[in-house]
Amino acid sequence: MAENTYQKAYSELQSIVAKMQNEEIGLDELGKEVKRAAELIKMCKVKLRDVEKEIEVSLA
Amino acid sequence: MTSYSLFELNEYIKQVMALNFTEPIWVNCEISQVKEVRGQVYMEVVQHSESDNLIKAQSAAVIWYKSFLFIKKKLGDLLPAILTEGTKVMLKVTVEFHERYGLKLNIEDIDISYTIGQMEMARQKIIEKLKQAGVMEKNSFTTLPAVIQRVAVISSATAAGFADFKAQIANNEYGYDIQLDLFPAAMQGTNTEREVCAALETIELKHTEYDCVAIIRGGGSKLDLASFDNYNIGHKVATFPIPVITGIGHEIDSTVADMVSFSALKTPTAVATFIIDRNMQFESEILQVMQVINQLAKQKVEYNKLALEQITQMVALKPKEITRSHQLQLDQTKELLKQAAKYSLKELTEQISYTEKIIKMADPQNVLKRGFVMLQKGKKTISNIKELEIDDSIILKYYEGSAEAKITKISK
Repeated sequence: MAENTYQKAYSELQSIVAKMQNEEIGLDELGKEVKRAAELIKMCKVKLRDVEKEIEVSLA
Repeated sequence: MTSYSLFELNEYIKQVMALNFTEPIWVNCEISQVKEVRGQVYMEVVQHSESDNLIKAQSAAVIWYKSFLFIKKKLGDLLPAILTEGTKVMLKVTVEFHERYGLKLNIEDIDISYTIGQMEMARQKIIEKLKQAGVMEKNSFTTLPAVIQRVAVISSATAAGFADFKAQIANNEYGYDIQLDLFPAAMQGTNTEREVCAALETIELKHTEYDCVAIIRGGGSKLDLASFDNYNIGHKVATFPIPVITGIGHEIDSTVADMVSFSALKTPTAVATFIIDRNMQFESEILQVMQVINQLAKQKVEYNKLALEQITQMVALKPKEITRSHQLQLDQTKELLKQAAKYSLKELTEQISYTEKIIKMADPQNVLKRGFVMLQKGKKTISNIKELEIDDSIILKYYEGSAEAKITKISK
């Protein structure tokens, strides 16, 4: 994974949520954006878990 | 001309001497050579000229067996240091002249306090000189690494202090691997200055390979330490490019080497402890930093987890909200449509019934009903007078029946 994947993914998530909040999102795109958001969340979760493991291992 | 045999002359000198030196006398001088042979000590004592340091007086001196036993008992451990080339001594001597062996000073006693005093004076002079050279503090301004891993040790391979030092470093409880390279040098006696300086010079050539120098020596008497009250050693240590730590093995006194060193410790063991403790200090700092990093890293992960959870909730809820609002809009639109449709239907219905009314009103049957008559000639309805002629037979159509008539007169 690239250095700032988490940050990128998280920023994208934030912008999706912002779009949703401002209702800039059309119904047609909504499904697509939700799917994308789910992907990003999964990616972030995996990364977080990996980092947590890394911390455990590195600083054990 | 009267002449004497050499023996007669020497015998005469011997008598003169014996007459003039009936009692032992105290003489201060410097030992320039010393040799112990079968329990007797033979030496050369000298006095240097103050101005040019050349020898201006010299005599042979001897400690006979009996005196040696007495002096040995009196001075104990200090004796070897006293009977060293270069030591300034106060000797109680009898002056004796032998016909064959010439003048000899028979040493009966040694005043140790004189030697100590001389050494102290010499030491003060050296300190003064080093101060004037401006180097006293120099070594203490060098940098000792936070972790000491490579130590150049100046010691005697056989010194007990060195063995202790080596063992303590090797068996340190934290398991630090510290490289000790020995640069052997005499730690007491006349060779000390030369050998210690030579060892320092050797190390200096490759000082970048070492974190510090340790000068290690086991215990010894105060006089033994005098070798380290030396200008050349002092200057070398003071100006050494890396820290020099001394553990010369004494509890109370501080030698010149100690004074100019980076750190002066009382014993070799103390030097080992110093090195190990310094490394341990570093390690514990690292461990602390690690703990802080661990904590911060965990916090950061926790924070991100929380943020991600929040955003996940948003992603889960917001679309529902959006679809619900779209649904609502749709429902509203549907309702509006329904109402609009109802309204226009009513309008149309009204329009149609009005039209129907109008049409109904125009129906001929309804006109006849109101009492009007319709004229027909044959099957044709007559609505213009021009269509009629005299004697035409016409039908008068009423609502409820019809009658035949004949045209008798036409007026236009």
